[in-house]
Amino acid sequence: MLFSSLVFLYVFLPIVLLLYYLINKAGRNYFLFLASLIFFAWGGVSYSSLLIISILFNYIIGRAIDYSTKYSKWWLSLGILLNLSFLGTYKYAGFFSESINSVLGWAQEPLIPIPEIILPIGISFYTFQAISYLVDVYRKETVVQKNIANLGLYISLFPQLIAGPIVRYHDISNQINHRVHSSDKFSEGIMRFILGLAKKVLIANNLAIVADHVFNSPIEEISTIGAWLGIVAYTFQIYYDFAGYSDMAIGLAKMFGFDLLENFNFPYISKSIQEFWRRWHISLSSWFRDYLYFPLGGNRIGIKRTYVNLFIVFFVTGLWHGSSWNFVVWGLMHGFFIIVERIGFKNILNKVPGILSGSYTLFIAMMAWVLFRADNFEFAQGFYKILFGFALTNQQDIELALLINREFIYSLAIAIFGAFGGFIFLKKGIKQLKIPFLGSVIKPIAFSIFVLGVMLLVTTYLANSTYNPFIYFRF
Amino acid sequence: MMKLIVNICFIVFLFGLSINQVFNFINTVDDSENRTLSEKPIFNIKELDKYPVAYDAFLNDHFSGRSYFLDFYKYISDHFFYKRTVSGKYLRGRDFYIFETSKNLPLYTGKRSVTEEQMDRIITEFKKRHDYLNKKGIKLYIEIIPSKFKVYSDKLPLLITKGNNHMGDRFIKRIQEETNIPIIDGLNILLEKKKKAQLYYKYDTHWNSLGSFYVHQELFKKIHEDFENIALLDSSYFHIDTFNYKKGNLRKAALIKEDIDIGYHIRPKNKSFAKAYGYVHPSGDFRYGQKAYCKRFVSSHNKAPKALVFRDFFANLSHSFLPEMFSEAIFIWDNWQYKFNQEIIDIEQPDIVIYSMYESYIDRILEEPSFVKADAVVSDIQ
Repeated sequence: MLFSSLVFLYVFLPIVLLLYYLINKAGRNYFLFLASLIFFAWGGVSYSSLLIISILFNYIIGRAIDYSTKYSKWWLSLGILLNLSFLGTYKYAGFFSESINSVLGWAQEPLIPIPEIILPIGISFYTFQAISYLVDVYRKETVVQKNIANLGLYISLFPQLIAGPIVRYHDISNQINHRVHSSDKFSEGIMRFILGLAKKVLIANNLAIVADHVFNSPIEEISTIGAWLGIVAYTFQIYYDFAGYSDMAIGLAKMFGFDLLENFNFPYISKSIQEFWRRWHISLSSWFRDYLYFPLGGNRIGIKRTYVNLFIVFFVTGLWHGSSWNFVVWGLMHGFFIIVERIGFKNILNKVPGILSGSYTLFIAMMAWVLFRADNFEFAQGFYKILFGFALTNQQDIELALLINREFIYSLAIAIFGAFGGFIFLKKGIKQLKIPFLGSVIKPIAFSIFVLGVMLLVTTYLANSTYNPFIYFRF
Repeated sequence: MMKLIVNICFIVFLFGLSINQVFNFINTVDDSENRTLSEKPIFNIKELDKYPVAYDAFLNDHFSGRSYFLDFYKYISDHFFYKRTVSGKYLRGRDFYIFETSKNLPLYTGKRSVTEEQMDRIITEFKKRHDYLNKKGIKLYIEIIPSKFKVYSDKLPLLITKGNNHMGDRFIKRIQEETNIPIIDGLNILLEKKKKAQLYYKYDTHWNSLGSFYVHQELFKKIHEDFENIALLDSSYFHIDTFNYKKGNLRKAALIKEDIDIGYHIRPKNKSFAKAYGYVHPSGDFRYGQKAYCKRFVSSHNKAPKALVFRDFFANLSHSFLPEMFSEAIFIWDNWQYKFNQEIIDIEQPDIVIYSMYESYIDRILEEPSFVKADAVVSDIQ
């Protein structure tokens, strides 16, 4: 079920909110767990069994790690292996088979059969959360969860179940049994949810029209201007799509009393790729830092080993995003620039004006997005050539030109303004103006108009278009 | 206080629409879509995987106040964003002219076309048909119906121009150069006549009856060269009346709902033909049904030739005047396949076969690799 769908907004959410606040506190976790399972099942009833199996075996292994101190490492290894096998089977089996066949020259007549498995929604997210739970219990960073419904709630909590943020167990374990519900928090949740909804439906989806048109065109029909327009649109589309989803998740969680950690912090204002990864998909980079980079030794074993560790982390980061070499190379591209920055380029970036270091970072991120969005290397390679003036056509794309309407231009302008912190500056500026009745009258009216206006517009857009998938649902 | 107001606004909106979904206080049914809206699925424990998808489709189609939201979307698209095109389905041109874009625009700009090899196959196919019909003493004519883009190119936004690779142009040129099949390109006469009258609907892909009439007059002139006994009936033989046309397959895209299009009624002053029933060609699984598949008209002009017309939807409007030219006229609409329909030809044994083809659909011929298979099996024809 998508947050930006009519069935979620006007069937699932009202029912769950109503019942959640009607039943007593003792039953709320059970109810929320059940609601999360229904939410998940809506995307594929058959795959719910995978989620339930995952909850069951992670519960048993978690208890075993806690109970058997002597063999806890073995239990942890088994747990991680099972979780990764799960992920490997359902997400990467086809990819690995294809790659092996291709390397060994069996691409025409594959010797290893390529399994046709449909990727279960959210498997990358809930598998990583489950691993986080097992590691945290092993490290004694948190106590083991003895109530299976509570563990089930952590793994399957619907606001973050299918597209994150990836919640580490130790960040939320206390909130499972002790969380605060208040009108203020609920209101904050609404505002955050509405903001996310607007980012997704009103910004990202409008930018997607142009990005999709360009990236779905045959490479020989894309002009240089069209390619730049496409990659700029996609750069902001993916940010608003994913950040919007995270906002919705954080907002919804707040409505049910949970405080999730932030997932984005204006990544496009970063002045290095290192900084970019401290601002982009924070929950994923934190997860890899805590559960992969540090266990590998981090930067404590020497410079060469640090680079190897970074290479491994970004290889896996790429692979996590999709079972395709495009994603792997995308991850490695980021890893390469992080290593280059560590070698010494960071010192240069620190000395040059912010606009130059910011432009460098944005440029690298955009170039990497080409790999992320392209269906294959051949297309990406052709796309790079076109970006730098080697287009195969000098004809203008009329259909693309028709898509550049006011709706797109406004969306892009707002997207750029917002992505570089424009609204934060605006907010600060308004505060400094000391307008009378700002807090008591103007703000409530403005916020109410914002809530109602966004709900009206979002519903209008959703009613008009039923095709509305989130980009990150494929991971 | 502020947060309380925010909570109330959100809850009122969320629950308001949800409650209306259940009780249908505001019930709107939108019948403007060219499809059947999804029905509420029946919950079946054995088919759980299908239920969510089916329910989503149902809710999207029957969402509380959906048509109001669709109208609102249209309003902001038209009056706030000034969209020339929506979802690549249509394009707003000058003077309120609307153009269908998903099929016709890429063909007009040449972005979509056929390869030389494909064009060779099409031409070869028509040569084969021509040879076959020649042997049977049947005259073949091809009538090309130009797209609205070509006839009303002056109404298009400036950046839209006709591509060099235009499929219709290439087909006409190849037929003219490589065969002696008489081909009537409706474009020139329409460009000339449109100066005095509106020949295509503003809110429809198709021409109106007057556009159809002018092009068919050109066809008659061509036929007259081979059949001197066919009457060359000009406008004076017909009643031509205008009427306000309020429909159109692009009407939903109209900026001004009340804007009126011009249509024409054209009928002979002394009508001698009538529809004939009882002898029809089986339509098979033709989506528009038997009545649309085959239409037969018989006139009192016994000495005039018998015509078999494989028509496009455009030719619909010619039924009120074209049968007057022939002793008998049979119209077959084979869903834009423009097949040879050899079995029908063999049974009907007409004097004239006309392929009345919309230029944007010429490549449909390629969809039927055997080319010569007709819809009906001979033994099925009554």
